[in-house]
Amino acid sequence: MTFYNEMIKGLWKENPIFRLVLGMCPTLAVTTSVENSLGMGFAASFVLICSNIVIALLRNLIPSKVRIPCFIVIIATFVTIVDMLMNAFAHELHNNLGLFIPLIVVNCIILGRAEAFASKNPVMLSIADGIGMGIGFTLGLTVLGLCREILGAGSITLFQQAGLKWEIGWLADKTMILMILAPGGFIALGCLLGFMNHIQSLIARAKGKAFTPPQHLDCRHCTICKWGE
Amino acid sequence: MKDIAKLIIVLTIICAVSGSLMALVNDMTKDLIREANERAKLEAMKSVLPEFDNNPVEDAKVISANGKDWTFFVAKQKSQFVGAAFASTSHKGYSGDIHVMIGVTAENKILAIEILTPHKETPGLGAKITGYDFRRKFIGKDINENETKWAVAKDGGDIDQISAATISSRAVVEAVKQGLDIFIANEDEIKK
Repeated sequence: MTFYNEMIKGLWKENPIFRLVLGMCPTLAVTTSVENSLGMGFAASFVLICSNIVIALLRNLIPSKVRIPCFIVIIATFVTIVDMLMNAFAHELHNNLGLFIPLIVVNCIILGRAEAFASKNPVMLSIADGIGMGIGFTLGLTVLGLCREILGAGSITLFQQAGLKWEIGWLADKTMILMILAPGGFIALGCLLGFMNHIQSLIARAKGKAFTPPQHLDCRHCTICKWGE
Repeated sequence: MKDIAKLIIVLTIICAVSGSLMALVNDMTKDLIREANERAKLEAMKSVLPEFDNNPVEDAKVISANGKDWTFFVAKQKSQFVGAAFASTSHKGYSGDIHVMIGVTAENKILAIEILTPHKETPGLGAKITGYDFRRKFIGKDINENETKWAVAKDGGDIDQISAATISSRAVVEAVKQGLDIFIANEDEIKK
């Protein structure tokens, strides 16, 4: 039951993009099409699950004073391995995502989960956390990618090489190019965040309560800043 | 003191294990990656050449110009020159370099061009240079400068730019023109 709870929290309650607001750099950079969003989501999820497993395994061996460099080395190793494997076995996908894969190293979702969860919890729960956060991240990216691609390019691309691309005919000459450029990322993300909060407040109101954002997800909760205290 | 020793040992072990793991995967994949890159280039080359019965890679001619080596893949049919393919690069892309594969026929006309991956142009805008709608504007153009003005229409040339992606279009035209200049200067050598 805890396994399920840890997994499911990443989808909505602690969604890394919409609730934790982590990993904004890849979120804004890659979500120009659904295809890129999915690829980035899967690559980051793979690294997240692997690094969660290893860090949970080593959590009692790593002295807390050098934990951050240790986490970064472990994460960077997995990212490099993913990069090489993808380049060798999924060359076309690598051509599309090549730019973003090294960015996974500095994706704070992965370091954030290592610090906040995997370094304090057993392996099974860390796997659950990794899967849940990974799916939540992929889902968030895809929703954002869908909005931006439909509005900005008038198409939906699942996998271009396999021909899984649909043009939305009546949108073809009404597209807002802005949406697939950098500012569009901020606009779409802001609107989606507002929309999510609105839904949450509606749900809270239906239950007869006032909506308060979950306090334990606040920045103050993170231990990285409490170095040396 | 004992504390510091432990920190150093743990970090060293983790780094050593990570390093060996990466070396192992690199060893496994480096040949595959090189092959995949070669294959992609070869496919692009084939798609811009007319039908041939030789091996363009074996018959390739390397010419040094502008401080780098240009490889011209020569296509022959019954030992007769039918076309050449070569890659050219522009540094004036909207974000990063654009590599273009150009195919020229024996009659000095452009047969086709192909944008090589990876390029970093904006998806949905500059990335349209890879689409056939843009690439077909080059097909059939005479490589001679007296016949074709190698510039985008906005600069008074013969190639229509993609609207809202003039910089990317301009870079492709620049790459093509650069390659063609080398081709024209060494025409006899390549067609031999």
